[in-house]
Amino acid sequence: MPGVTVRLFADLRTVFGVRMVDVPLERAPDIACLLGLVCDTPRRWQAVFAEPGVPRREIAVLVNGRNIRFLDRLETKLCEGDEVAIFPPVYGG
Amino acid sequence: MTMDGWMGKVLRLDLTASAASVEDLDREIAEQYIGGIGLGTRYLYDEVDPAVDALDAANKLVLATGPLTGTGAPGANRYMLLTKSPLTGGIANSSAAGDFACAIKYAGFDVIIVEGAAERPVFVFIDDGRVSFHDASELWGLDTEQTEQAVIAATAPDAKVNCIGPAGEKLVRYACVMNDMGRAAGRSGVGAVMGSKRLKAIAVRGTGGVTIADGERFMDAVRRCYEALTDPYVEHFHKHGTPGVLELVNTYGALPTKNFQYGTNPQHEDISGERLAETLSVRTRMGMACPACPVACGRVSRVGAGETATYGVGPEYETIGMFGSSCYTNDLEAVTRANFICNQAGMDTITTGGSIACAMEMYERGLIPEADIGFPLPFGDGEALVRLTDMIARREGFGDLLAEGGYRMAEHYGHPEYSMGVKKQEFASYECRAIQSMALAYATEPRGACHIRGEAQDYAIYSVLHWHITKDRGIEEPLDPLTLDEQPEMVMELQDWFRIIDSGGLCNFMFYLGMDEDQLRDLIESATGIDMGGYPGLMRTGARIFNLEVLFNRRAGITAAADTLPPRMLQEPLPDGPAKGYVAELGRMLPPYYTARGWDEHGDLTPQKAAELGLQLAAGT
Repeated sequence: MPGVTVRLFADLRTVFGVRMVDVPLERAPDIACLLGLVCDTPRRWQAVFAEPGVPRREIAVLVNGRNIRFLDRLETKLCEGDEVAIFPPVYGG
Repeated sequence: MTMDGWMGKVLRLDLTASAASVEDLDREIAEQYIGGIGLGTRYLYDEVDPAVDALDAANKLVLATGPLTGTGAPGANRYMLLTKSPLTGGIANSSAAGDFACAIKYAGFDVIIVEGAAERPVFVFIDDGRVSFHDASELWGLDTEQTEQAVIAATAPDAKVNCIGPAGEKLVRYACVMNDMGRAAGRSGVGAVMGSKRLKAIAVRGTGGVTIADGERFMDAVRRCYEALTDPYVEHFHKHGTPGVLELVNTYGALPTKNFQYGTNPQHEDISGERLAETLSVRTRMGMACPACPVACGRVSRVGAGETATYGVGPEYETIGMFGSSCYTNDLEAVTRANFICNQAGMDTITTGGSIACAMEMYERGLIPEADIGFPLPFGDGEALVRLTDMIARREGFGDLLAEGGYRMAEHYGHPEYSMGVKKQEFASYECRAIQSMALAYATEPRGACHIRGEAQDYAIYSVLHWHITKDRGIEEPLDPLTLDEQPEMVMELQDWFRIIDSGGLCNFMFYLGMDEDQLRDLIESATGIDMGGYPGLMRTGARIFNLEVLFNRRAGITAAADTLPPRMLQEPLPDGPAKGYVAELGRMLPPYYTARGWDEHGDLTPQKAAELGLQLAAGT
């Protein structure tokens, strides 16, 4: 199915109950819409956001391997086939 | 003079004469170099001619603890092994955690210096300061687990042991030294030097303790460190350990794949930390912890089933990255079997995996005849990986050539450019075209390619942002791994900062999770009673240690020309992932790095900088 693929990692898989979810592009034209869509319970929202409109500093959201902090942050536009990855903090390789 | 934090004693073991002697630790030198990598480098620099053959009896092996080792401070459980490396020809420093490290302190010593060489295999028993030398002829050939059990049986039930396996005995140039049934001083061939001295094992039984200069301040510092380590995400480390980073590294396009030809692995899910926890891990709620560790990142795994099942420690992220992705087996069982062989033989998994990946690429390109290897060696062949790992450990057939390291093997066939490493030591499991700071860190690390002496990946992809290095620059978010801005100074500061962690005797993991420079300084100062001179003094000490390592290398003939990367990294744009099209921009980072270090344009320490760091006496130049 065309659209945007969201992949969740590490403990976020427990919080969201899934490893991956496909979202139609029309419902998620940018990262702000996408996160609003997938963070649809208080627990999920709290896992990603520090306050409304501000993701937690330690959460990494990447579009095709690029952290949204190096793109347009929450306003980063999404395209058909984009892959969004959401990571909690991991370290220590 | 009594000392706190430090035990104040150095034990010298002369294997040629089967004699032991004890010296006082020079307090002034201890204050300047702290312990671990710092103190060990100073002893090595003062006592070993860098021109000596690494496997000659004139080389020495220095075991150095830190003043915090064994004190109960979080993660204060490490010792450092230093010697001249048979792999790089320069300085080797390789660290391991465990009861063995603490036992050295409890037996009354900060440093053990092993010199000379025994005529026949020996092991040494240090029993609370009483030293005895024992014939180890019957242990020669045993693997590391068998050796540890046999040495404990022959000495004391509460003895702690480090030892070599068959790889160290056979002088595999990247043999490691194992302790506490699975902890490894892994890199740079310290095990081969121990093997060249025919020293099979050191057993230590220590029943003493470490005195602390200011107990109240120290306990307060320890409490605040443990509070800093209360991370809501720490459970992830319990469950997945270091392999938990693999999918993040792959997402950033930095997972070495097929000998660093690619930065992403389409089959990454097959070798992820989660997959390991679901399949082979046997402790999935909490990993294996070293003494005084609240993280417990160590993996314990099982391969096979029923009566033929084999258990062991590992695999760590680095091992999976090299055996699983760079060799492209994408098979955790093959990875773990090869890991267990390395543990038992006493061999660095990173260089083993990197060397085999190099051979796989050269085989596929037709540069190594199949007849030389004895069987096909394509990427992805897990059975061939396990078989060749065993052959390296035994120096059998083609394994004998690979036991020299990937660089020497590739050079033998006229193509050293396929060896992915620096100073003849293989890269760790990070593709440096996708993390530019890593390119500079790899190129300039004195012990050769390395990911843990200055962790340039931490602020780029791991969101570690609570150290002065980022805080003092106002950096509140991870740095773009593809940017070059500020990298030369930041990499330099990381390298110097990590020298202090490795001098104190602590584990790096404590510092990803919450501890910082000020807390470490507080621990060292309250334990020893010294004044480090604030954060600037701490960093000056780190720089002193780093520069002394470089001076050792210069005297060994390793010039700044060795601060480079394989042509693939410098000239071939990465073909895939988010860093597609990028090469390692080393040429743009190296000159400002040398300037930041206070070195001249040739990459050499200037007399002014040496004097500033208090190195004028040690340098002798």
